[in-house]
Amino acid sequence: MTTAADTKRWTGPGGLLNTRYHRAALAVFMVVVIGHWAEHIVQAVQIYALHWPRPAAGGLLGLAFPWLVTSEWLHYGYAVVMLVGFVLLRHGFVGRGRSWWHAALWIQVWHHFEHLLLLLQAMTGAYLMGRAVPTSVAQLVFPRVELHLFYNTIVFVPMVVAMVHHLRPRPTEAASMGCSCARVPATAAG
Amino acid sequence: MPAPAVLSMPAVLLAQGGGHDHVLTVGFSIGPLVLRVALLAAIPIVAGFAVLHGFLGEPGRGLLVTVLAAAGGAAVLELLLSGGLNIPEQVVPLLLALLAVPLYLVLSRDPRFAPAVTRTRRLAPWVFWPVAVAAAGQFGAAWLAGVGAARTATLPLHTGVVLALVALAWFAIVRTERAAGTVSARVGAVVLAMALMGGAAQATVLRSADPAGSIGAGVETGARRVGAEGAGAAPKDAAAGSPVAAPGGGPG
Repeated sequence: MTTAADTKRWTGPGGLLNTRYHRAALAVFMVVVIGHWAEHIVQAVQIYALHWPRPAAGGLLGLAFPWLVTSEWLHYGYAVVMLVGFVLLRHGFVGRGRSWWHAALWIQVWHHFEHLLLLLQAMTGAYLMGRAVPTSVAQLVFPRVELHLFYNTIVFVPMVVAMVHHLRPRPTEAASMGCSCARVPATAAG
Repeated sequence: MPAPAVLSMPAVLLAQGGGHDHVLTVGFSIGPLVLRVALLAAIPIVAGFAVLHGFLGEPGRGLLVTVLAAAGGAAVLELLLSGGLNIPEQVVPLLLALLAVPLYLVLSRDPRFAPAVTRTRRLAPWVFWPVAVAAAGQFGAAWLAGVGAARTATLPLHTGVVLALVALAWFAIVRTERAAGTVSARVGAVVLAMALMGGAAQATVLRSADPAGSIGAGVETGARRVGAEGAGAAPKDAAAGSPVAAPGGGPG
């Protein structure tokens, strides 16, 4: 049985999630993100290529489980999961990767805020600026755009850039990494 | 297609200009009262800080974060409860950004951004005063209006409240080197804080019925919602008051 003294903590700088298991945690996180992306891309194909009615375009899982698409709780929950992932795994990044990861984190903070606002409006019946439907802040400036896809894109791109930098660090960056994510050993990197 | 059981729940269609283009369900509705209570709790925090700032020592980081978070939260709640503002909708994201910047300036500890943070904080009076004057203008328009419907219009009151929150958020981080600048900013902030309290209270008291809980209770006129009883009124009137509810059309 392990004691508190010999059990290393999981989170924070030096935590297991940011050192020994950083690579595995990033892989799981990426699977979740790409799975979400795949659903939205299938949904877009159903709408724009197959010309399905929008309410019927449920992606793949949404066809079998319609509540997956219609529940704002699920969308909000996913935004929270993303945010938690960004926060927990950020300590493993260094240098350029860290800057890009933080950029993705802050964009996700805003994305999460928009989902919270939508959820709040749906729950209270008080809609932003007197609109007839729950409205996000960005919709006040950019009406009729595929905001969800847009938001996921602007979160995903810096996240991928961060991971690329993380997997291929400069020698100085590799030297300060506490995880085993780099494909090239720190001493030979560069 | 959504199942009938789904349609029976509080649901709104986000398609046709919506963000996610799907039916959005939460399963229940709690009504806007909780938002109103939160607003009336947050505004005294901001106003109280502005009034007491001159009598207390230099505020700590935690206090500043609390005040700025309250200002940001109150502004968002105002946007939800107001039914519209006296400014173009495109300005709203800018106001939210103006509310977020002071929070970032207070929270930032990254040495790379320290020079930019210092420079931006020096600009605080230059943001505070113009926005404060704009807020005062809105409160003046509300309180010095003539008679009749204009007298009870809440549109300028809500606008004044949002602008005052932005101004007081920047006041919280004002650092001036000259005594005259410090005193004038503090006096201005106290006056604005009192107006903020009065404006928020009056807008809340003058509100019409609570927002409708479903889109079935209202019809869309342009981008605004007009309740069944107010369908004949001009869209501007609908925007002037709180979101209009149809009789018996409360949330839930």
